[in-house]
Amino acid sequence: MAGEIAEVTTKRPALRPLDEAVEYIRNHGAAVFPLYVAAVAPMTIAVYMLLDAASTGMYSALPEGCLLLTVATVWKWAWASAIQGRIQSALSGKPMAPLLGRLSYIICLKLAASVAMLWGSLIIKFAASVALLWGPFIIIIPAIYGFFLSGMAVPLLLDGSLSPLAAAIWTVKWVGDSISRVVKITTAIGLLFLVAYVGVSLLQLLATQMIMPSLLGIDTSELSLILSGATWQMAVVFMLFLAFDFFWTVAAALLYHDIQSGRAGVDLGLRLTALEG
Amino acid sequence: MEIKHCVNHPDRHAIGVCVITKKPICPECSTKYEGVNYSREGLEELKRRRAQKTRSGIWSRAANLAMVAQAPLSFYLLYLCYLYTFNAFTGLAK
Repeated sequence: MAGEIAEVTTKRPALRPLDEAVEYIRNHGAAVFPLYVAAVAPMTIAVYMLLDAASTGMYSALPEGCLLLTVATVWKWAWASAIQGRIQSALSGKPMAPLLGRLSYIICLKLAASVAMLWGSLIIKFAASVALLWGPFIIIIPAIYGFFLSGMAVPLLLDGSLSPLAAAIWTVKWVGDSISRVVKITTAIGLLFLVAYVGVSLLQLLATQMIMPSLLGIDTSELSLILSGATWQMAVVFMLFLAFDFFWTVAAALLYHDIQSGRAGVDLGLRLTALEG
Repeated sequence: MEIKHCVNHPDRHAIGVCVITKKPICPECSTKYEGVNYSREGLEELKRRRAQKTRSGIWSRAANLAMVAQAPLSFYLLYLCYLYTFNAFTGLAK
């Protein structure tokens, strides 16, 4: 399998699934976006409650809020699985595999992947010096594995009869065999996120410092104070996270299909074009 | 039609082909199992394959069980990750 994966990755443009994801969202966004809204609605409420509790000094509400956020995350995965299942079904031309039967395994796999992505916060809490010294290795590398495992868990478990552990091993092998592609994809998404954050911050600055006071004559001193606060910044980061998470939900399903179609000699672009037709 | 001879006894006519080794076999070399002809080597191979399948089946079940068993711990760890992230954030917000 490793050889097949390496062969596929050297022949296919690394960022193509990301471009295809943009196309897919443009053409089919209306069909999958309501599912995503249903997926993230409880999570958004939980994050809003947590930000409110943190900014108003109600720190005792944080543990309950975080528990709610964890449950809401599992809820999000269940709905996001339906999105990826739908994309996979459309691309493969086969009816969608029964999701409910595999949902428990999908959630188990995503839980493990999420811990790999976020365990940096535990390391920083309990071993800050270790985190500072070995940060890139013990925080970033597991996070990259978790990122791809979380993204491709649904297509992997819905496509064929892979066990959750076999799916995890497949992803670990794929990441190892496709380092160049993995680095390109994570760098592209990371840079896009950074550009989006800087763009939103500049837009806010422009609106509160120039457009509103000069053109509309509105006093924005209080608004500027709110926008520069940590709570607002966190809310902006969360909204951007939602946008990128939606994008990655679609892109990961397309990436998996791209890997598989490369092996089967089927062109992802042609398949998408056929879908449009 | 070409008459095939047993792979172990070239002087005897074959009555069939082993479904595993695909070699022609005579009645003495043939064992009918589950309605299918097997040679001695074929039966050994079948036994080995079945044992392997059972072993991989056991491993697969154990792996799935382990994956499900880690879920409560991962759920708790994810909760802690969120809690420490928001605790760090409250430090920033203060």
